Amino acid sequence: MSTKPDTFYIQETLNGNVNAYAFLVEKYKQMVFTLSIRIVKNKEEAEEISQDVFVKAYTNLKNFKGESKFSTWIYKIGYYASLDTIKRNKRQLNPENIDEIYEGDIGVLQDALSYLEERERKNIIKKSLLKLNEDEQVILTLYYFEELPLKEISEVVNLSSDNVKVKLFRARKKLATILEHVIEPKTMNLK
Amino acid sequence: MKQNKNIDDFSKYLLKDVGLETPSANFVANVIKTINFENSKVSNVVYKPIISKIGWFFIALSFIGLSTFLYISNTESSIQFPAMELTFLNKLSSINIFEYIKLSKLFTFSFILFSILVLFQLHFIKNYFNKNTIL
Repeated sequence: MSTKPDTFYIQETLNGNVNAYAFLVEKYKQMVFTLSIRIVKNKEEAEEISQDVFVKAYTNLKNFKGESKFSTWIYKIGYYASLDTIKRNKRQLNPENIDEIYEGDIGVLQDALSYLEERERKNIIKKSLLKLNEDEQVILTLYYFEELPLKEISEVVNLSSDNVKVKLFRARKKLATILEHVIEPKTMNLK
Repeated sequence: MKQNKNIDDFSKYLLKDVGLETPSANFVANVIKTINFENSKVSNVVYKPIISKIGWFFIALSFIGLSTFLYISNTESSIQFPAMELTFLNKLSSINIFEYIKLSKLFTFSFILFSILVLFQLHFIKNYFNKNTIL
């Protein structure tokens, strides 16, 4: 079933087969939910937004021309829906204001992380990610986890490829800096 | 350069390690339920045109019938309009209501410029909203 391309399921959905759409929801729910949770930083809210995103995409599926990938399209809807929510709630999300750029040894940082237990390590990375700006988190996730090319990421976040590249470059250094701040006291305690 | 490569690999390791978040188990079911609900709402409301097709047919028929009747019937009108005194209309046109209103050149130019600005803004605001609406 999963060998068929998205366009097949889109066509089936347009023909009135809602179950075909369920397949698309199943395929992209985690990514849409992850992008949303990294922006709104709240599980319940992110779940609600993600559900709305899929319903909205369903009702507008006939407008999807296939010029971009379905994944890019749905991530874009999710990205903007999440941004709208934080804008509507006028929530101050206080991304970490980091001016210093990490120039240290990445190997040391990676070693320190590997000493930690899996659960704690994941927790630390998640918390550090949440300290980045919304677009930085989304760009990092799409580039490193989803391994999307820069061009597709630029379509999702509505920025030029060069701009995405610069943000990506900055975001990963920022993440390393945040991680260093979080890990250093922990590793010092271990000694 | 090496530092860049290192940080690139490191970021990849971090993001892969942390993985994706998983929504609740009934996520897909909830989405499909909402979609089915929306679909049932749509199919329940059937909009009927105010004038039905038969209605339009009769309207067209009577229009054609009337036109044909007027065309073939005697063109000499049996209705005589009474002769009316309409010369007062000429007097009306000689009244100039703007006679005592004097607009300075400065006001006129600024008013025109302002109107142009409003039109421009309309154009840009419309473009801005079009751009920001994804769907």
